[in-house]
Amino acid sequence: MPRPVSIQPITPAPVVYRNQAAQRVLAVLSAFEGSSAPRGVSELARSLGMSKNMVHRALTTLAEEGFVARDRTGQFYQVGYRVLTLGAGESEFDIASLCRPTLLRLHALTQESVYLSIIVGGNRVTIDEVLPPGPRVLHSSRGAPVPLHSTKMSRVLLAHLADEDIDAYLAATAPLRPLQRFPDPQGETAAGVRADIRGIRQTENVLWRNPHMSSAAYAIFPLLDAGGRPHAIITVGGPRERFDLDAIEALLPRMLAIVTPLRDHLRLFPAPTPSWSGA
Amino acid sequence: MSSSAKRTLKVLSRIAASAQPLGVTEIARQLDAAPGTVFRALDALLRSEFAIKYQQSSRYVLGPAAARLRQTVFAQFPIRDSALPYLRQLASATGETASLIVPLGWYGVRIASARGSNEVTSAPQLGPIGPLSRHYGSRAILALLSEAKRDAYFAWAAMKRIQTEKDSGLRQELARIRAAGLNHDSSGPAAFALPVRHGDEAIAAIAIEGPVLDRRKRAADQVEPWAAVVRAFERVVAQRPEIAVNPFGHLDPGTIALEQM
Repeated sequence: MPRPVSIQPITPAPVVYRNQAAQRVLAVLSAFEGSSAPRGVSELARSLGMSKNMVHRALTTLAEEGFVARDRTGQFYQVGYRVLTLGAGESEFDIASLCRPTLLRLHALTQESVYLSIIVGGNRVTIDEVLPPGPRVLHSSRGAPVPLHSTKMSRVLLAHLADEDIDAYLAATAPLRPLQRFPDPQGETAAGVRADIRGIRQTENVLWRNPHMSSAAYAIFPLLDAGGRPHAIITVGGPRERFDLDAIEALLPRMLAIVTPLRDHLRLFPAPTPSWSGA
Repeated sequence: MSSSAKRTLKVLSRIAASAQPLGVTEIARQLDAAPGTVFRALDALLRSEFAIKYQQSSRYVLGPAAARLRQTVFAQFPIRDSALPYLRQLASATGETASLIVPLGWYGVRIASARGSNEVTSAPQLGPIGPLSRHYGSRAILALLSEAKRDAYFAWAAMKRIQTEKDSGLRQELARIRAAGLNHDSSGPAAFALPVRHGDEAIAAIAIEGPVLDRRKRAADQVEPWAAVVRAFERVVAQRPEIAVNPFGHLDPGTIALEQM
């Protein structure tokens, strides 16, 4: 009968770093990742499990080479300018490039005008479009600013800002100036804008035909970040003879099948902070 | 601190500066160091993800920790987040890539860009673009610095042996930029840059990196619709001066070096 074998647990050999000073310096440098606030020696020592002396020496080395710098107060450290030399060619988050394939697919489905609009200052600006050939009833000139309170498209962007941002916008733009191009009574008073915003917030997608100018109808799809702030809107619009609200509703499931993956993707990125000067 | 830590940072900088993946022998030759020393530095860089092996080879490239840290620096410029929508508007209106350049010491650094909508457009890299006088975008900033700061720049550039007004007529060019309110680089593909003013100086410049100007017409007339966009952004900065804060503005510009270590 075989004798029982006693199995000894294998203790892993202690890891011996051959370059401990360098490891410590790189650990201290890594601690600044994603941190906008300056950091102090004591706090870094605590979070890294190092002595204050070790952290101080690492920071001195990093500061000599520009990888960290003293902050304005002189008491703390911030990530340094030298870090900018580490690499190149990152892909910038580019809303237009990300949305372009979705715009093309929506156009292929509907054969109508498709616009991508963002907030620039206190305005909505269309930054990309796919247009059908021939005359159109819906115009959203690329690059031209439209105030955030004017037109349903603008107000869909405005509606997804925080209440305090909307208050700040309405205070900065008072008194509201009506659009000259076509009637938009809800955009002419702050009360009208607020009432419209309440309605827009009730629904995920806005299907709309201006009762005061009934030649066009359109669907507006807000693209939001994880906090519900707006990156952009996509608008699909066309003449009501062929693209009226019933036609839009019939196409809505297929349009949403195209838009939803983009919406999910954009939730991963923070939307820009709104800023306006009142002009 | 030990010289091994400094050497490791130098190895990191060499990898960053190289357009190609670098091997141990090559780095050792560049730094005049023993291969074993470089190997130990690379081991530390691998462990901390500042470097990775290029496609399982024995050559090295920058790792994800370097990219994450770089993004941390970009995010510290509050002007970046605020300017991006305006860059997108300009990129859409011109079809060409619009980018934001800020001063960092006496250097210009591109910290944001919005890709143009034209089929063929430039894709300028983010990061340092050289001393302020070298690039047409950062010259638009240099032109609008105070006279005392411009003099300080020229003194620094002379010390660094960078081409200055003595051999390039730079001062006259800067005066032209101040008078026109823009820098039109007609030597290349007719690119131009507009200064972003705050108070009496430029805190940044917005460059349009493509051939959007007709050389037969006055640049200022053609640029006016885009200058209006930049003025709208300047009004936002005037209302929220915290946007103008440069995270390295408190440092003596002469102490900032962005050349290879």
